[in-house]
Amino acid sequence: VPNTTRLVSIVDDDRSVRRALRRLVQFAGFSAETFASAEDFLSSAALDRTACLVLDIHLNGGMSGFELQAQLTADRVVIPIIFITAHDDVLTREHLETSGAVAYLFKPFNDELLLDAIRGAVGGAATHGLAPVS
Amino acid sequence: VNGESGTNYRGLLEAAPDAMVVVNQDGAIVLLNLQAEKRFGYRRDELVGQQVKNIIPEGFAERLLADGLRSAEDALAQQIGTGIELTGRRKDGSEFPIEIMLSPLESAEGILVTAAIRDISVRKDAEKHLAQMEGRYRGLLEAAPDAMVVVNQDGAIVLLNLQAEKRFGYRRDELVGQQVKNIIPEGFAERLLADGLRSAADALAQQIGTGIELTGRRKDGTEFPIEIMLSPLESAEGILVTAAIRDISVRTKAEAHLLQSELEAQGLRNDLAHAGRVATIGELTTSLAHELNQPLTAILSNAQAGQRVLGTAPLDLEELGEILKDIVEDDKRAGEVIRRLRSLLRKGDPRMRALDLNEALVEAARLVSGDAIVRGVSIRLELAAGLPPVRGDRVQLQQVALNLVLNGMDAMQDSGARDRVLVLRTATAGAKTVRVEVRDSGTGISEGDMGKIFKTFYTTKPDGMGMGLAITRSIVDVHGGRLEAHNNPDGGATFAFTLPISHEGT
Repeated sequence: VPNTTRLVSIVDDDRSVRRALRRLVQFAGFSAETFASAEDFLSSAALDRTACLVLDIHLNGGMSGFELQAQLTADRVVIPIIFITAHDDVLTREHLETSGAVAYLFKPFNDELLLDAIRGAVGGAATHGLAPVS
Repeated sequence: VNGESGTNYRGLLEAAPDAMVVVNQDGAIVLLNLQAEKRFGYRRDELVGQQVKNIIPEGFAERLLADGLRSAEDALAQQIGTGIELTGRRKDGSEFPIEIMLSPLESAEGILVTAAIRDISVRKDAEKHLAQMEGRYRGLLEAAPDAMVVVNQDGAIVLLNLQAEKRFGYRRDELVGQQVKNIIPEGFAERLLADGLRSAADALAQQIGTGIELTGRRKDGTEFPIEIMLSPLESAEGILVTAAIRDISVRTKAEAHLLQSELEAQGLRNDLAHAGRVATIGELTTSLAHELNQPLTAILSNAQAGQRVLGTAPLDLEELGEILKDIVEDDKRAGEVIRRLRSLLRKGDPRMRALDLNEALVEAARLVSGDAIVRGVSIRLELAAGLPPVRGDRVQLQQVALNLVLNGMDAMQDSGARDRVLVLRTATAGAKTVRVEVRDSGTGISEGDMGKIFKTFYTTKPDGMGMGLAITRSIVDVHGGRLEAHNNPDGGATFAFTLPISHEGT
């Protein structure tokens, strides 16, 4: 399965972060869709096609990332989740460790950490969609 | 005084408004008019031929007589035209002050003297009154605890009291007749003078009763602060000005001391407010980390995406340009967070000025937005459009808003409520006031706490110092507003403060 068919959905309330992550993910050869809120994602057509969800925990207003995860579990929707957060505290870490997420990253994070986590989540060693310059 | 000319002369006498008596050189009355009869209470025939001494006992007849040294003509010549003040005696023996004017009248019987006699009782009474007044005034001047100086409209000193001598170190005779500028170099004489715009009376009228702070100069050249109070004094020489001069060195010192204490208190208050802000920022670290991490995340991801673009061929310059543009934007955004933080940490005197409260509140809300996100609180801004400017220190008012918002969020944390909404609302309240409300959906304030929450060191938080609301209230007080709290009917609490509308405009 080519990477371009594997959809990575990104939920983050920060527009800049969404734009930057979309670029990275697309450069890595994945399709990417971005959402400003958990609710937007839940009501989108992308829900069924998403191979990996990059999910911010603290979303401004509405559901949090953890709440979205709980909702997906309740709805029996199985999507590997990579949590990202700008907030690092004991409580959040405890929650993350027991969340069953494939990975969690504290902002700001290195691109390779994210991409490796995505590749791990979608299964198999992903190849770059664009040929590197020799 | 016979014949036709005598008749004419008699006519003239009767027409005169004064009592007229014609006397010969023996001192006998030869002629008089109706006024003279009335004045002295005699019938004409009772006076004609009688000695003038009967009605003017002293000073008149003597003037007419020759003595060893001079002839009658010379004696008379000396008196012609001069107003002589004497005493008249009526038939009933009562006396009254008179002024007589003498003129010679040649006649067949030799030189006669016409005396025009004016009753000057009224004038004399007035003069006596004035003299009494002057005496009293002098008494008052000396009794006054202040240095008193009376100045005429030329700026010359006409009268002064002992206090003035002491205060300025001059003897009285060194000052009387001198310009008041010698002891009050500036600001006094100028006030008395007419200029193109006003008369002297107007100039003075403007100053009456007002305490004017000037500088006094002693004889030895040393100067001291004075306060003068002016009052006008009508006199025969025109309007005089009485200046009560008070040495305010002591008061000025006391005032300087008071000012110093006030400044110190103000400094202390500012230090406290600053310490409060530092504490607030301690509470904001979550928010700041969040607010900085977001742009840093975008910058890092964009930069690394850019590096990946560099590894492709052909080089997508358009995409690279977009990436760099985004990086610049996010860097600015991070810089803004730092700038807001620094302005909040700024230590210095409060700068009271007209400001747009809505704008200041939006900025404060941004500072806590990260915290709100992490805590799962929605901050809703309901800012009145066209809110008039208020007068205040932007940073301190932001501090007030931050404290109230953080308190509200704390209250909601404790409540465990699912719907955590904090409303920040502004509105005009009447013509002179703006009202800011911070409404939470938290636990509310217990009845027992309601009266105490604004007290220093009172806290309901396990790790609280009990300074936040006390500082917040003191800031609102200094701004001329009021801070109050009440529970909402539908749960949670509202903290509201008022601020006076500024009339300067922003």
